[in-house]
Amino acid sequence: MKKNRNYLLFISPAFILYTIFVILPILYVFYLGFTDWAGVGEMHFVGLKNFITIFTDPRFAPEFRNALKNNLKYLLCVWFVITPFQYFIAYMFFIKIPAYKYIKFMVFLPYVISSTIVSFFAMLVFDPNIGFLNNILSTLGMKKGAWFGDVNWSFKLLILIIIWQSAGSGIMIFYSNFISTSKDVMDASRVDGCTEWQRFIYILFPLSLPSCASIISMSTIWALAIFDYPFILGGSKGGVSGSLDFVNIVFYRYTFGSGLNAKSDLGFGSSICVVMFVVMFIITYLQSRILKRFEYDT
Amino acid sequence: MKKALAILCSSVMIFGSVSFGVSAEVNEDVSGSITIWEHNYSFEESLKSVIDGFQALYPNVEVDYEIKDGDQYYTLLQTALQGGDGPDLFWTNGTPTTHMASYIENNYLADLTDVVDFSVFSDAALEMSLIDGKYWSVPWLTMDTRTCYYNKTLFEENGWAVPTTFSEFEALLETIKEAGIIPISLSDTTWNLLFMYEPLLSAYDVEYTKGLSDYTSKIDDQPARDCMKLMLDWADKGYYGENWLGVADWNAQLLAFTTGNAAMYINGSWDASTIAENNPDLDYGAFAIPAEDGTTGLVGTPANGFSINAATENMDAAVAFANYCASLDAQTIWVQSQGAVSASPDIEAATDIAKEISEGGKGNIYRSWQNVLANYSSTGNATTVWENDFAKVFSGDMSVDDFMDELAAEMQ
Repeated sequence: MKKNRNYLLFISPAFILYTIFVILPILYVFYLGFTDWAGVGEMHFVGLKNFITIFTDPRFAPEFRNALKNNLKYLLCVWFVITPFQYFIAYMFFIKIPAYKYIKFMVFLPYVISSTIVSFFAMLVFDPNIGFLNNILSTLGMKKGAWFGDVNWSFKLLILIIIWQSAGSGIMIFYSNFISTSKDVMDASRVDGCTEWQRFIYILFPLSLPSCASIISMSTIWALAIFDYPFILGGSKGGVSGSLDFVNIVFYRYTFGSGLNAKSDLGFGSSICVVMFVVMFIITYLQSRILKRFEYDT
Repeated sequence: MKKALAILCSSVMIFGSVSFGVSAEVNEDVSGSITIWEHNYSFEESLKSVIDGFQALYPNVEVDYEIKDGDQYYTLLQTALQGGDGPDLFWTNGTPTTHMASYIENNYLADLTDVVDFSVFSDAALEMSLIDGKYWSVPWLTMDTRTCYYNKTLFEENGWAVPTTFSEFEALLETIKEAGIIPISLSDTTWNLLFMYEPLLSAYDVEYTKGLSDYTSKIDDQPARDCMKLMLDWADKGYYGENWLGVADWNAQLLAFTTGNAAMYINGSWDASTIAENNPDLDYGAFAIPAEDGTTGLVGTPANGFSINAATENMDAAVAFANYCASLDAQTIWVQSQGAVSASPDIEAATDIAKEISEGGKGNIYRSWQNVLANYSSTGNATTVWENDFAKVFSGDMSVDDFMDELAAEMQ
């Protein structure tokens, strides 16, 4: 009997578009990683030279290691600071703390502000000369700080600003998850005499695990690909003493800046992308194995 | 202000050249359209004025321009050239960075040596354009120099005088600091550090700086090292503010000066109009940092302008535009509408501050220390090393001697 292959007609447009705009560019970047292409001119195959440079070049390797370390540090902050914070605030909204509607609005408001504007706000607050934080401290007779110019502060402030600006989206997802919990279940728990704590531990928390898994997955990828805030706040050099340097900034600096050899270097930049792709793949794979346990059939 | 200057300059020039036929005749043979790319919005009004001037002479040529502002300029340009969609004319830094050389190597630029009349330019002005004995761009006769801007109101209120010797300058820094004001606004960013280091070096050791012009002074000679150490000493003494490492960028650095938080600001002459726009009420002047014997000078070079895309589909119009840019009329429009310091005795600066900067140099022009890196590197990597590590010296991640040794290893 002849097989019906009409389904191919349905999937082929998406398949073709996805291949052209996603798969092929990724494969092309992999290929470029083995060349010395500057973005213009001839392209030469250089084998593993770019990858060896990443890990052994006396000028580049320490910068790359420092940037990767910052990415991982930030990832830990996402897992253990930012996501729990979002979860906690969402729960506060769910149990309707006083003025929760107003607070909800205020928490979500910064999310609609662009990162460029946020950086301008950051300058108005933290600039050591014209920022009002130092002015307030000075008025109170306290010691002024360098803030983003102080390696002890810069990373913490970056996290603070990210929480301020973008925590709202995660909070809303968690909150939506909480309020979508079946009213029957919640009412039944009240009838059975559950305390607020028991309701959280035995009902809300288990039911919110799938959204936790989604948010952690997305945040992990975002953490490993972070660029805009550290770039805007610390510049293309990655802030004072590389305290705000991340792999994507290193990629930008060496690919489109004067690179390793005084010219743009798309080949070398692509090899950085390949290395980062492998790092992200390993982390997200391990993470998905763990998060799989959170999933359940609805 | 810049817009008004641009309109005024272009009106005068167009009226002058068309009505009285002063410098050129109207040419209706050249036609078609060309597109120009500029890299910064601060040049938009000047470019519009130059285009107006050009179109008065070439009415059948349609000229479009695009401002590709921001860090992505070269990325966009490179992609466009690679894809065969590059603009007909476009700006590059010229010889100070490697982009123009790279485009020449890949045959993206047209050789302008025999097609453009460069007679209004001095040899020094053409240095930006010259690679392998050929000219690849039309410079602008704006003198891109560095100067020390100062807040006149603060100086008058506190009885401070513009220093006439290096010692006086150093003593003034201490006096200003004791008055509770930041003496110099600075940020730990590569180019802004350079724009303070170079004029300071020229005052710290005039003979060394003069020797940079023919490379008898080497990049890492003792005066260059000592001057950098002096800048670090001043940082320790709080002359850039107690927490200056936290000043994020040029914008914040400039704001500290324009808001009156800092008494002085050492940076490019091109910032003059931005300062005025930032705070129109600020009463400010400029002086060249004096050497111990009172000698002053200007560090810098004329600016680079447009190159022609070798693959342009309208070479005649592109060459006509390049030639117009190389004319005294266009150069005058550009210099005056920019409110810039003039690099030509034939073009008078349009603003008082530009005149003040120009006169402050007393006719002495010095080669930029950074320009030597670009021109005398044996490996071609000296600029890259400098760009990567200069700020590290000031954030304490690298010593001056290690940095200088590293640079010296890349030089002839």
